[in-house]
Amino acid sequence: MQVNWKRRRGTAQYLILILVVITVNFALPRMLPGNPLVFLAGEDVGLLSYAERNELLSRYNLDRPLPVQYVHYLRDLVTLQWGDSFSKREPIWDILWGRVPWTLLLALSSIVLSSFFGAVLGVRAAMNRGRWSDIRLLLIVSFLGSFPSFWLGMVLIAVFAVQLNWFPVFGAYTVGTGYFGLQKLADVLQHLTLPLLTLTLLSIGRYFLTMRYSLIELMGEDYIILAKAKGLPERVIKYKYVMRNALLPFITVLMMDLGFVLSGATVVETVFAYPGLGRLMFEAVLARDYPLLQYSFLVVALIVIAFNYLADRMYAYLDPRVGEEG
Amino acid sequence: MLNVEGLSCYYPVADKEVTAVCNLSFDLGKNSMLGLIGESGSGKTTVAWALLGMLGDLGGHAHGQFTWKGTVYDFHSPAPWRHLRWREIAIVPQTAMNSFNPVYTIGHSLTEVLKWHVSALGANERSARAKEILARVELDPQLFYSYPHQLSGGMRQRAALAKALICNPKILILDEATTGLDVITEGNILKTVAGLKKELGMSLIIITHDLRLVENLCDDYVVLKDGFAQQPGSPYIKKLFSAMLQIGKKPKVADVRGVPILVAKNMSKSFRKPGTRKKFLAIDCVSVSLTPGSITGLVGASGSGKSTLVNTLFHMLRPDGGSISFQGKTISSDPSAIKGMQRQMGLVRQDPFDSLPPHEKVSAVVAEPLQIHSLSEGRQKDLKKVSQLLAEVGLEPEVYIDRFPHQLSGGQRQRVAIARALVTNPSVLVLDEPTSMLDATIKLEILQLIAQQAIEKRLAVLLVTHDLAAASLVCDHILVLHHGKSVASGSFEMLLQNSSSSYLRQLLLAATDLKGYWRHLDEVAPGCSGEGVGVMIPPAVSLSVAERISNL
Amino acid sequence: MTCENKKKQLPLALAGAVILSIFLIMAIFAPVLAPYDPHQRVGLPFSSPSGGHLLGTNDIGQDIFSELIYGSRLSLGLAVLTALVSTGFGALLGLVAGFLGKRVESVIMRCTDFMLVLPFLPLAILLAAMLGQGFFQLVLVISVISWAGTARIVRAQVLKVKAKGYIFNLQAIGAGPWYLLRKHIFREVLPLITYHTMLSASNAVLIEASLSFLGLGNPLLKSWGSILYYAQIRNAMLTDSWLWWVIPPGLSIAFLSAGFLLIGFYLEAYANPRVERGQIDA
Repeated sequence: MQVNWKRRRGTAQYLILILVVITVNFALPRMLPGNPLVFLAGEDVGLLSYAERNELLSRYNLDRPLPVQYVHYLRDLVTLQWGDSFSKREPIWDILWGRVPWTLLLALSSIVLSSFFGAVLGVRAAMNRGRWSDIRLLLIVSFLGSFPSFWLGMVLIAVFAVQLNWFPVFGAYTVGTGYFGLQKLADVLQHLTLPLLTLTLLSIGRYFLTMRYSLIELMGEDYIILAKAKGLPERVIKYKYVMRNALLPFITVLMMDLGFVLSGATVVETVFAYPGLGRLMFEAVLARDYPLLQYSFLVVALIVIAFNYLADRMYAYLDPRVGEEG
Repeated sequence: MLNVEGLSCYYPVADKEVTAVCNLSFDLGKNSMLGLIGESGSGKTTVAWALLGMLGDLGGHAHGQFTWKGTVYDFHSPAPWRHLRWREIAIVPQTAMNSFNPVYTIGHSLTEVLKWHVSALGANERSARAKEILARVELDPQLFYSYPHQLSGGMRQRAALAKALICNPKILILDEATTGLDVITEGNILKTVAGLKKELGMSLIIITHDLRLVENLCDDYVVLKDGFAQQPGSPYIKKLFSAMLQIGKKPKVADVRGVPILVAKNMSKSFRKPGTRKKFLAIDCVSVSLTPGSITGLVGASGSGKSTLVNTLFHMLRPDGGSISFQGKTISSDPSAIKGMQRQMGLVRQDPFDSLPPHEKVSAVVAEPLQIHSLSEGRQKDLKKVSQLLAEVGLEPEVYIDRFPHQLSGGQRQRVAIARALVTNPSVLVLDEPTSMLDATIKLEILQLIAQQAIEKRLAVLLVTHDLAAASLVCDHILVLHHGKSVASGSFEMLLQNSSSSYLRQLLLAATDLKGYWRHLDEVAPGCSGEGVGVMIPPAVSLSVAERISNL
Repeated sequence: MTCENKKKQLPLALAGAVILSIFLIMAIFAPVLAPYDPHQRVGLPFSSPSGGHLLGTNDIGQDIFSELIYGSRLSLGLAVLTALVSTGFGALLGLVAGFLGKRVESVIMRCTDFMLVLPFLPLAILLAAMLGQGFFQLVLVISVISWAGTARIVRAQVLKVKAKGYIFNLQAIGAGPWYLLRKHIFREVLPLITYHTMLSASNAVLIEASLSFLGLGNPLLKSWGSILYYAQIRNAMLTDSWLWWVIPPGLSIAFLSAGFLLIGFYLEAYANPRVERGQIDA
């Protein structure tokens, strides 16, 4: 896989991207075939009387011209008036706010773990390139990547939670125990283990492959060969030359990865009934609660965009060549 | 000072050991210059890496012994390298452009070496030494704070030289260190090197394919071919030296003064500098005319506007000003007129490795212009034509017609490219640096082929090159470009006689007589580098730190 | 080096071809191979494997083995169709962007860039939920979220080919843009496109499984993802039935996806011949 690691977006592009996502969120229910009311208020609208329908139409401003609707939509978005979820009978904002931390906990800890182990294994494979240990790792990692994430989760549940009974089957914490402090932490960690393992096993491959590939490329670079000829100590070459430069493509993968991880998290959360955004989307699909689904997507997309932005800035800081080439 | 005895180097290639260098021996005296000459694939770079004990890291291994300061070492044993590398032997590698870690400043790279080799120096002393050495190689000491990508090619080459010199090595290896630079920049850098050698009492090993450098600079030389040192007077050495393009040894081609077929008058073209609003003139009122049966040379350094001129001749670029007339008619922007002119023109370009489509056989490659211009007369007739042309350019048709480009050598590819350019029976042939990537012996053959085709087919040829020697060999008329302006024009003899423009004089000197060129530089502006950017060198910095290093 | 790589990958590519042919036979001869109609209730719900039902039955008494065999039809068909649609669309945009350049290119690449940032599965869920769950809707949804990668790489390759000396050479002697596109650029990009078709197919298998697992598959068509969906909501993992209800469909998904990938890797050796390094003396 070739990674174009000099790619970089400006702040303006991020703002445009956010605007596009927000607009898509506005346009989808209004543009898709079918009654927009169904998408905004639920499938029961078919049963409503004429007057009730009209009232709903005006509540969602659907009886007004599109630009006016858009302005109202933007105002509501900014003031966090995201409406109520009809399946959960709660404000959407409150529901989402309760779910975001769990998703972030799962996704970020998975990124930390998989990037760390992926990098370590990648370095080891690159150092033993072409030998049996390298090829074995490559095969295992490629094979792991072919499994559907939810299935891996189901198997882990069956083995570790049910048969061996080492971990809880579902949820993020034990409900109704009144744990606090360390006890609570241990409980949360215990619930986190299996979903985290699933997600990490799935994303470790990309880090592994990137690290291995960029190290192999780098070790042929002239300045690295010359560093040895200069009589620099091995560890200086390893850290300040090889690793320092391998960091650059690695950051790019990290940056592209959050989208993957959140995609993986969606199904993994569903399997483990982990109360994050992914599970919420699943529940919304089951209940055909379109507004909840849409706003969940909006929040997931905004999180990904925000992290991409951070990674971009970090990249510019790490590579002096960026920013001058434009 | 250094004595190498029976050096052999091996690389494993696909389960087999390949011998890159075989049983090489040489001596390097104190304060002397040794030339190591060879064409590509001769193993000369391998020797350089072996002297630094690097073959193991490159996947190969070396046998043999060397004597250094009276002690005998074995190339096989790993022990002494730690003390030899950079403190005693340093290298400016072939790819000096890419010899800096891109994420650190030049200063960091320079001081880092000092930190590991001269532990007695403090951080401030290290920076002082680094800035001093930058000044010694005639670079602005402020480049200490720059990143490698901010430097131009010539500057990076000098920075690599500074890095090699920073520990005061006794031996400096220059591995094709000036290849790819134009003769003037090359001459300037070599002047710096020669000066430093005298001053610091170093010995130099110059690895090059360019006999001119060896003849001008070296006390002694070794010629390598396929890893074997050639005995003095061997046929190969004779061939190599006879292939050396020497200025003025021009075989008379033809002395026809016909009517020009292609005349480009007062061509101008400007570009915007990337990232800025400033415009610069790539070519500025340049005129050129091509006559059937004669070869016109267009000579200039990289960035002089040669390629821009060629592109406008082919209508690949729309010039800002000027006019092109072909066979007496002015060519307007009318597409059919342009296409008609393009049909009469052939083009051969520099890089033989990407000038042919990789997915087509030679037969299809050569016949392609026929299809573009709908001149194809059926498969059989085309094939016959292709065979005939291949024979004319010196490739046996039966052997080569069904090969793919990657199965051909660089010289063979250029021959195919010439055949392709000739397939439409053009009246004009433009060759853009056709020999710059070829070895000396092959270079000569290709030039001979071009001259021969020009006479036989009465082609009007434009030979674009940075190599004044090559141009002087075959061209009837030479046009010299410098920063987009035409600075001289006329036959080579005329240029020699009245080389009034100082640029042309420098070019002639640098291309023929390096030492004469250095004397000339000292006369014109003593102590001034001719890099073209006009960096002033600060007054000589005291060598105190350098002295301390050598005393350690 | 390329040659060596190809040699090493040949057994893997053969393995991929064998896997794909097995699934293809399974899909074509499903009515012959399957012992029962997978849509009919043919046994007691939740029964364990036995001679009559090799992999037992599901929650409503349908034969899981038959479901599995019929599931290959949807997975294979959808993978192939989606791969063709999304790679075709992506490659077209990539070719157009790379070849035309300027405004067209920057607009297309901006769109591609945006698509690549968005988390693809949540987007797919949103689209699938709103578009409905027919076979062709699924093809559309998966294509919409997966064209961008192909477009990006094809464009990069077109730019690379366009910068080659021989293209310039032919342009200079009068070759028109369509001639170059047809005769050279497309031909040089084609191996890469084929590789990406395989990659897309492999991904499509996984995404379809995920969507079906989330209850967004077509309820009328048997798919491996939907088998797992019912296994999940009936908590098959809590009993021994995971061994025959969960493992086989999961392995089928993994093998089909890997089969496409293995062939893809082999094609990549053609598509992306790396510059040979390690030549010491140039």
